[in-house]
Amino acid sequence: MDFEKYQRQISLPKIGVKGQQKLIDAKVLVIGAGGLGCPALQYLVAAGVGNIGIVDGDVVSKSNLPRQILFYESDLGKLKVECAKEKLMHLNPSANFSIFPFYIDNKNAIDIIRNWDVIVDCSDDFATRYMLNDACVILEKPLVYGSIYGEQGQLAVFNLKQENIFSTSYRDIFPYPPTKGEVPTCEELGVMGVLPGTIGVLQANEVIKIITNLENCLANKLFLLNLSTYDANTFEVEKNVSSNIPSTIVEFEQFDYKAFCSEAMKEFVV
Amino acid sequence: MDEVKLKVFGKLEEVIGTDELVWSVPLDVKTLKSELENKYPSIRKVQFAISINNKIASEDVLIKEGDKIALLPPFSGG
Repeated sequence: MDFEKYQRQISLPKIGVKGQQKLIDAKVLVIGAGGLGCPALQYLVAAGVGNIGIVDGDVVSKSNLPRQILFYESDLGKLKVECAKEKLMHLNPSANFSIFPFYIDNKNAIDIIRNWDVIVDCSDDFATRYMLNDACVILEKPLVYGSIYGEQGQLAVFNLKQENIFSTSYRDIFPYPPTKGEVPTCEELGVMGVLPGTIGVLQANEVIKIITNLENCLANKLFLLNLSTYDANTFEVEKNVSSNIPSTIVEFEQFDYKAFCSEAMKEFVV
Repeated sequence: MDEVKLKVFGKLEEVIGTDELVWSVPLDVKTLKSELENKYPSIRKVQFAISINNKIASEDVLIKEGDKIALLPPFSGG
């Protein structure tokens, strides 16, 4: 372990050498290398998380640069996962990086997600969000959810095993997805980079809490932050009987998430 | 008068036109939802969760004077 590098974290009584070793041994998969994924990845790699997976099929475009802070003008047209890996390797050359230069869907999700400890949802469409939630429930993986709208962000930890009970999932809050066109994308609505920046960093914070077994992680809760007013609200969540998650991998792979969310599995992160 | 305050989040803020509403106390969450749909027909198309006193509530949860209520649509952006 690089004691000099991680000295400030090791000095924290709640982390210590033991907690730092947990971070170094951890395997964290980030879905989407966009506005949420870039800051989440930077802080996870900076904190010393030793095994990082990045899933995104998109290439860097100019309108990404104001918020997808791992990418530079010289990256335009290149695969996001490759650009992200290249930058992050300089931050921690001893970390292992696995890149998946394609979009995740219910046909490839099980194989991709299976090998990781914590999954981070930095996607940007409902079909992917419901699909990731269901995959994580089936594979018993904790899922750190972040999403944004206008000046507001949502954050939660789903499906975390605590004393042999799994915490609530996305479908316990939102059993049914919105219909097409109900919620505009960032493309239509516009966004300032500091919002996904903030929520992405908070997702990294939740991942670190999960890995190091810290208290107060956002399991069974939904946190909302308004960056305009600084209003912050935490809501308690209970299991919802109407949440209807496919119970087997076969059922999951046959479920039509596109139709369910009536929106195409389009571009990942706007 | 028996009233409750509704905090409105995300997309619903635009549909309803404000981030806070004062409402006569409805019987329960289901009644509140149908009253809102009557006054703002376009929210029929919007999925949202309702919280009572910072707890996500099912349709049968009763509402009383002074309860803090929030209307919470999901966000998808990332």
